[in-house]
Amino acid sequence: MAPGAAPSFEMLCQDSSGLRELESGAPKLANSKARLYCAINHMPKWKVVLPTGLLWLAALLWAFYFLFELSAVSMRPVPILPAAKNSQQAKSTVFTMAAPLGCARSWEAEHVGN
Amino acid sequence: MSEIDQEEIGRLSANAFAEHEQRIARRTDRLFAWLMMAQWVACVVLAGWMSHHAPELDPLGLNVSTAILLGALITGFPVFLAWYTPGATTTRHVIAFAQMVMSGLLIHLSGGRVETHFHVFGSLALMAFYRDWRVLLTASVVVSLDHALRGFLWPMSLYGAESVSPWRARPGSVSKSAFWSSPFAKAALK
Repeated sequence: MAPGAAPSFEMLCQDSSGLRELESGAPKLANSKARLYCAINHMPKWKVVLPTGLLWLAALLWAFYFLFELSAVSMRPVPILPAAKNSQQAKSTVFTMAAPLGCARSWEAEHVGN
Repeated sequence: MSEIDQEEIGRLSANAFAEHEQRIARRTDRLFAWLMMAQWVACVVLAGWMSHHAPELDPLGLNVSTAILLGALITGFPVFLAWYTPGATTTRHVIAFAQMVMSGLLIHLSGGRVETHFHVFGSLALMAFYRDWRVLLTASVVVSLDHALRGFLWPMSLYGAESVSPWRARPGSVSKSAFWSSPFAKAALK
């Protein structure tokens, strides 16, 4: 460092004396940004990564759940409600097979017969 | 050559290998940090384009804001880690997780179009840059869970259809061979 030049955040954070100097005084550096920088720099990395990671994961899961639920509700087709009066009789036939073997053929035979 | 020399050579080569591995991991972390930011921008562009050309896929008009906010949320933490702890094991696993989640977001924004599902394959190929099969395993597990859950709960977001065959949504089949990539990659990267 050139003589007379002001120490940078990084240099002050390198050792504890620099940190003390920062805490005790250097008016330009003793601001919240410098304190935050030093606090993060001196903290064990896992203490920063773990809570941030857990918060991030929770936020991500919540955001995706919210998004998918919202999209699913908005894209769900409107159910077609039955009309109050049907002008036409519904034409549907339900076939029930009593036994698997031969039923289809016997039904066909009856149908043709009728 | 004496036994001591061989031990020394072994130690030095192990150190050199670890250093080289660490350099690769740091470089790949940086690569992914840039890639994730680029993907975020691409995500916003895709959302805008889709909202314009296929408004039926975005009836609430939320896709662009979703791409901006959710894209930022997905991208933020891995990029922070790539700067804060480059080369760490946690960093690459978080990046793998986030990359797969980003694929999920892209699939959702495109209305489940099959083309965006290929983003998963591209991401897995890029993750091979780490030369660490465990990263591919993390990514495969995440994409499989994503497909399993979304296939059952929100198939519209994943396949663009209200309902899909259970075989399609089944965890074993929907992973699109992602699980298979890990054992093969492990064998190849050894």
